[in-house]
Amino acid sequence: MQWATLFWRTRTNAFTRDYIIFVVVTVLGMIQIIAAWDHLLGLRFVQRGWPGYVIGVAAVVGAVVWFFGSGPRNIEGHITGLQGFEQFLWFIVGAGIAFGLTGLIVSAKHWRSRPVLPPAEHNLEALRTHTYLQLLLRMSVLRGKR
Amino acid sequence: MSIDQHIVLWFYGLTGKWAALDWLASHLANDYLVPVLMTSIGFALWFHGNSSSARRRNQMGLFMGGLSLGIAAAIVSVIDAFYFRPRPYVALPQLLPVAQRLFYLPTVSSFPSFPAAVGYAFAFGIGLRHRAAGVVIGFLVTLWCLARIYVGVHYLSDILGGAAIAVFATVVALLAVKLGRPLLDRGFKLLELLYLA
Repeated sequence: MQWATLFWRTRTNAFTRDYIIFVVVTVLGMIQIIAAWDHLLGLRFVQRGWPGYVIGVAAVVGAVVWFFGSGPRNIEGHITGLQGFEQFLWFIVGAGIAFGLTGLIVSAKHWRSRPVLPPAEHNLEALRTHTYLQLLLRMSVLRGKR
Repeated sequence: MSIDQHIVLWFYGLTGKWAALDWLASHLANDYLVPVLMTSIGFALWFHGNSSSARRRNQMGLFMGGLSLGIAAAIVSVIDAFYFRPRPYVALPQLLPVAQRLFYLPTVSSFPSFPAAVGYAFAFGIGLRHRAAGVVIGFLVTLWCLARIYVGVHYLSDILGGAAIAVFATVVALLAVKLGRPLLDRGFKLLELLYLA
């Protein structure tokens, strides 16, 4: 963990950290909207349709309001803003964090449940009925049987 | 005075009249708002689809959008190495206080517009596979570009040049995907093993 903290402190400034938080919350909100639309159990924080949309929209709007309300954001990239490639890189990091957090939270929420039937397909379709933890456990159990 | 300058000055005539419009343009012109929104929509598209085949189509759309964006960015970088066009606030000094108040003073070439090139490339690439998402992203990019004219840092021809680059980049990306399809399919299969596609 120490190297991660050191990396965070030396490679980022306050603007970069704010940008990453902005990306994480925005992507998290978009994932909730899509998960509600497509009934993806493995990515939904709530099981009923419309609260998922509300959470998603609130996350996106909240992230925008926070990012622009917490400091000046019209700053040239080579001063304290972000250059194009840095934006791309930190977006990937932020999106990955958002996706990972979503999978973890939903998996933790459903860790006691065990789906009776196996996943219909070996791809993202499986998230309609399973969480990531359930899918990983299935994979490890099947590997153990072999 | 060129048509470009007339158009920029028309927008300049709107500044300072309505604080809400200035506020909106200042935020829409920002380097981070529209890019984060459009790429977040693209990222969410990766998971969207009512069947595996529909989802695969959307995932290909995101891949196409990303590839088009990368090609457009590279083309703009090459053009910038050989050609420099001053920003509108250089030729029209009355725009300088507006640009300083609502945005900042970019120092790279005005033509072609980098936001237009990468934004429309992303929209066109995704739109080839998911029209609605392409339209939404294209709309956001259009607002972004119009805001940049409003705050005095781009001409309309910069935007049109960027859009033309986006079309070219998308065509190149489409050809590259057709040629590299077997490799792409293998990549998707690998991601499916990890339930990531």
